[in-house]
Amino acid sequence: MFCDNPSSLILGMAAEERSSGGSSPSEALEVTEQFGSVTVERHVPRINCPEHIILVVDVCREDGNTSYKLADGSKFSSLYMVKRAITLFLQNKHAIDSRHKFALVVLHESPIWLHDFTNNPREIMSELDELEDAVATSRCDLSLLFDLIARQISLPQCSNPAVAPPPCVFRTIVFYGRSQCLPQFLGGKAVFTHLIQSPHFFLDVLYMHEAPSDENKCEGIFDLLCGLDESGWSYVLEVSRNATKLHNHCGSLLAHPLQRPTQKDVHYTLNGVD
Amino acid sequence: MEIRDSLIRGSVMEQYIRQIGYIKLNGFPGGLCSDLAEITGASESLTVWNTRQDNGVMGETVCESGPGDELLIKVPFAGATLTIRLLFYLREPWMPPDMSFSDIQFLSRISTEDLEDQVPALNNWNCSEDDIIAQLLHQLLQLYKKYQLEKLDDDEVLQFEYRSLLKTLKIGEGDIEILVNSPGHNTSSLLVRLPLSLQDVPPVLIDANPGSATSLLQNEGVFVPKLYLSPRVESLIGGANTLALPAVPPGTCLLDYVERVLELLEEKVRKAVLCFETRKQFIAQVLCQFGCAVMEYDAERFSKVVLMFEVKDFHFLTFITLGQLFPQFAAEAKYMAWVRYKGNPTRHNKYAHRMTCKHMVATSKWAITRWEADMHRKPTGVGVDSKMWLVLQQAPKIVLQSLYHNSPREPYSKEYSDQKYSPQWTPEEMVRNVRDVILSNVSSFQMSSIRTN
Repeated sequence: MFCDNPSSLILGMAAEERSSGGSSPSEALEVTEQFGSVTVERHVPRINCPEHIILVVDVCREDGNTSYKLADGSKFSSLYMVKRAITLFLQNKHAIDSRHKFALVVLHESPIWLHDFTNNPREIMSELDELEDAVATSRCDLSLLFDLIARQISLPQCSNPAVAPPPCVFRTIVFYGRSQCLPQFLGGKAVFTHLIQSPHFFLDVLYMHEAPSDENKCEGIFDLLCGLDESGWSYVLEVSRNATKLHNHCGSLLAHPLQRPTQKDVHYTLNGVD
Repeated sequence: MEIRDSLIRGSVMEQYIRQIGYIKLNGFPGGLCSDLAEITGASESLTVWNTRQDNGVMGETVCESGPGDELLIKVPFAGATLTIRLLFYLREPWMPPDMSFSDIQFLSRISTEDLEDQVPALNNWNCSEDDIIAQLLHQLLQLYKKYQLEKLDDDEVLQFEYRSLLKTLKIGEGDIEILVNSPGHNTSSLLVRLPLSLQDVPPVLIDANPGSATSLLQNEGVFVPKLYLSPRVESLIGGANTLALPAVPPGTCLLDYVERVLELLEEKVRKAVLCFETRKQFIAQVLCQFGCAVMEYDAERFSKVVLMFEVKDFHFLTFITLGQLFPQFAAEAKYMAWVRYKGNPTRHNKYAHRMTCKHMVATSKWAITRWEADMHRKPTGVGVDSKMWLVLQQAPKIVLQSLYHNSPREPYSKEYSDQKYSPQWTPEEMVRNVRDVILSNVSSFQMSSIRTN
C-alpha cells in the first residue's frame, strides 16, 4: 500500500481547501510529500487546471543517426517515431481533459513558434506531419528557446499561489534528439530562471539518443538536461532507439504536473497481491 | 430651430434607450420568474386595447406611435403572462407613458388614488433618471399583486391555502404569486418559491451556474402542479422534467402537497451531496493505493481519475469514471436514461438507455440471488439486516486505453464492466475490486489492441 491514511491526501485536495471553512492556508503550505528519502514541497494546490503544453521538437539529424527497429524488422527514422509518439500523447492528453492546449515549437537553427496554443490536437498533428528532419547545426542555444517561450506566454499572477488554484499552468516538453551537440545557454540564463521560478511553469525533457559510447556525448548531454530540473518537479527521461520505451515515456509525460508524483516516486506496476 | 429640435429629440431618445438598457442589464424588477420576462419595442401604429380614456371610460384607441416609442413587456406571473404596454411621448418626455394591460379587469378595478399611492413614478416622472422605467414596472407589478390578493377575499379556500403556505413554509409575501380566476380562465393559479436551502452544498457543485437557486411550484386550477428549477438547482439534482412529482390523490390539501414536493427536493439535494462525498472518498482511496501511478484526477467534483499501469512490461492507461449520481439506484438510472432518450432520441441516448436496462437486469438477478441466500440463513427476527443492499449502486466505469495503438483516429480503448460490484464494500474494497477487474482483462486488452492496429 502506498499510503495508510487517505484523509491526509484529502487535506491536500484543492476542493477541500475551497469548500470547507475549516482548512487554513497553512495546511496547504505544509503539504509536503514524504516519498523515499526526499522531501519536496508543493507550493500550489493539486488542482487539475487546464495545461498549456509547449511541445519543442528537435528536427536535427546528425551524421550516423540510427533508426528504430521494431520486432517485426521494420525500421523507422527517429523523427518518424517521435512524431508518432507525440501523436498518441496528444490524443491521450485530449481524452483525459479536452481543455488542455498545445503549442508546437521546432528546434533547429533557432527555435520557431510553429503553431500557437490550440485544444484541437489535429491542428498540431497536421503540423507535425509536415515536419522534416534537417542537417544538424553545430549549436543548440537554449537561451533562444526560453526567450521565445517567455515572449509567447503570460504566466498567471496569483496573489496567494499556495492556496489559489491557477487558471492554467504552462508546461514545456523538450524532445531533444542530438547525441553530439551539448545544448547551452549562450545568451545567459536570466529568462530561463525567471520562468522556472514561477510555480505555474514546468519543464520536462525527453532525450532520444544513440547508444551511449565514447564516440558521442550522450551521457554529458543527459547530465546537462538533468541539471535543468531546478525545482525537483521536472521529469527528465531518456531513451535510446527503443520504440516501446519511447511510448511509455510519453505515457509518463501525460501526468498533470500539479498532481503527479516526483519522477523518483513513480511506480506503475500493478500487482495482484497486496 | 429644426436642428435644435432634432438634437433635443436625439438626446431624449438616447436617455430612453439608456432606460431600457438599465432594465436589460439589471433584470426585470420583481416577479418570481423575472428572468423570463420579455421586453420588445413595437413599431407601426397599433390599436391599444383597454386604456382608460380621459373621461374615465375604458375603451380602445388607435395610436400613431413612431418606432421605439412603445414598449411591450411580457411578465410571467403565477404561471400565466401579464402583458404591459407602455406608450411613451418622446416629444414630451416629461409626460409619463400611457399604459395598458392584458388583464382587462385590472385597470378598471384600480382607483386613481391607488395609482397615485402605489405607483408614485407616474406623478414624479423624472425622464432623466436611468431607472425610471424600471421603477414604474416594479410599482405596477406590486400593484397588480396587491390587486390579486384583494381578489382572494372572494375565494375563501384559496385564501386559506395562501395563508397556510406563508405560515408553514415561513416564507414572505414576495415568495408567492397568485392569479385569482385569471382572465379567460375560470381557474386560479399560484406560484410559490420553495425555501430550498443550498447552504450545505459544497460550492463546487453549484458555482458553475451563477444566479439564484430557485425552485418554483406552480399549481393551476384544481391541482395541476408544475415545477420550475433555476439552472443552479438543476445542475445539482437534475432537470425539473426528470423529477417525477408525486401523484395528487383526491382531497389532498395544497399545503401538504407543497410540503411533500419540498421534502422531495431536499432529499434530492441531500443525495447529491452524499454522492459527492462518496465520490471523494473513492478517489481518495484510489490515490491512496495507486498515487504513484496517477496521471490526473478531477479535484473538484471527483468524477474521474486517470492512471498509468504496467503489467508484464505492457503499459496502458486506465480511466475510472464515476457518474454524477454515483452511487445511484439502478432503477432510477434506467428511468432517467429513458426520460433523456424520450426528450432527445439520439443514438447515444438510446445506447445509454440500453446499458442501464442491462444493468437493471443484472441488478435484479443479483438481488434475487442475494435475497434467497438471506432467506436460507435466517428469514426474520433479530440479526436479519435491513436489506439495504437492495439499494444497488452504479459501479464505476473502467476504460483501458492504449499508449501504442490508434484505431484509427483515437487511441484504442475498451470499457470493462464490474459485475461483482457491491455497495456494501468499503471504498478500499471497491478500489481493490477495480484493480482485480483491470488485472483480469489486461491481456485480452493487449491482444485486441495489437490486432486492431
